[in-house]
Amino acid sequence: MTVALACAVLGAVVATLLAPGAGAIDRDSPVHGDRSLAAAAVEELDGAPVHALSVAEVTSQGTRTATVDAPLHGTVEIGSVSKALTGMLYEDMVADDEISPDQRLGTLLDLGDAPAADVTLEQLAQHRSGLPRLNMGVSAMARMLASQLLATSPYDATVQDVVDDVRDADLDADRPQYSNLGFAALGHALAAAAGTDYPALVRDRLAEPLDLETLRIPDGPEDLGERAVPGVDANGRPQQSWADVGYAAAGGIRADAATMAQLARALLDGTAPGMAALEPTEEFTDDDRIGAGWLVSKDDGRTITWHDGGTGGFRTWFGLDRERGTAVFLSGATTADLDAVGQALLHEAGEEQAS
Amino acid sequence: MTVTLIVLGALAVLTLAGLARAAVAAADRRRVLLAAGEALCLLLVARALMPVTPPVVVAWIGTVAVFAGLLGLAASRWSQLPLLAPSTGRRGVVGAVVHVVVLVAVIGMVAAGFV
Repeated sequence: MTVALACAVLGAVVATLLAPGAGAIDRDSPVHGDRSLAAAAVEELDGAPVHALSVAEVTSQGTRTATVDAPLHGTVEIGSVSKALTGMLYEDMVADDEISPDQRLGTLLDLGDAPAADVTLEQLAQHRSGLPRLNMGVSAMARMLASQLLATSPYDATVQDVVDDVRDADLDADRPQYSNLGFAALGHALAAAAGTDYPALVRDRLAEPLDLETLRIPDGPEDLGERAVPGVDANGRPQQSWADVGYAAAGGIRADAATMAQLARALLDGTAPGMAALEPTEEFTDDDRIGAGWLVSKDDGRTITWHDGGTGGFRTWFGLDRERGTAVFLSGATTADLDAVGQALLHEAGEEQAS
Repeated sequence: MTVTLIVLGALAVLTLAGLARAAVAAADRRRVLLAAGEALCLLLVARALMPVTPPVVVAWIGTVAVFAGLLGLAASRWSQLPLLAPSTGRRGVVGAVVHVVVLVAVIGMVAAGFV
């Protein structure tokens, strides 16, 4: 019995050292960039298990960026914030009369007589197409479960894979339904209308015009670039990056904090392409309205235009208070939700410098 | 996440109960090894998938402590046990080998995710 007790104590000590959350950033972690911004972000984390952090703040007083336990110009996976950018591309092409909101998806992608062929581009841009979040067959479910267990990416789709998934999907159009599949299809439809592919569309119509230096879509897990910050889940496991062209329009873009700050400035001063995407035109949930990809919500009396994102190894929040001219981008190597942290930082944005 | 937690908790209770039975009453080392492997596998999977909240982390640490204690208990009987009980048939041996291969594969793959 003495041996058993001794083993139990030893096991508890080892388990404490190896417990999930060990190694997460704290107030003593190395900071690059603006120290006060980093300190405010770490304070708002309140002990959440985040293993690297990238943050940017834009106010009328200027731009601040910082990273914690990551290089200042390290790129992160912005996840579903990519949908907001796809929405901007959609509105930009509508404004240029290259596409129309009521154009059918089947006119741009080879969907035959599938139900999704009659879905309009506007419905896709507002999660009203009826397409499911993902087309989850048995093999996709197995892949999703295995990816959770083995810390690998569940996405490895080509454009044709996405077209096939859309062709096979059943529609449930009774209510708005958040759809990664729908946004992936929208991105490829926009690219088809422009006679290019989705990564080139992002590069030519967003990244280069706005000088978004690091904003790009990797061509696979081996194409992340030298500055890539590794993704880590809340439990501290390194996660394979989500880098596939198939679902890139729904969540495959990488960027660093400075680049996202540059995008935020263009959005706040109205010079970004497809600004109409930020204008809400439909109800989405009880609390949120939706433009094209962008969500608009009330937060403590303020109107926040935002999107969040999540991948295997990152959680991201990108939000604008357009009335006050402030914006915050926040991305952490974690699977812990950072929405509240982003909202709090946006709420505080500019107040410290103004006081 | 709640479903994950419930499933992991139930599996933890079952596997630790199995290890406890093996530690005090197994007829051979094969049974102790398999029960320990199952429990180790569960602890690793739980470490990979469980939500990182203070109560859950404390519960995991406690589970590891119980696991280690049961291993200590089993170790005290180890030298008195045969590798295989005399009644073990050919099917039991083959089953144990397959069981070990599956456990080693799962433990290896999940453990690799932590590196």
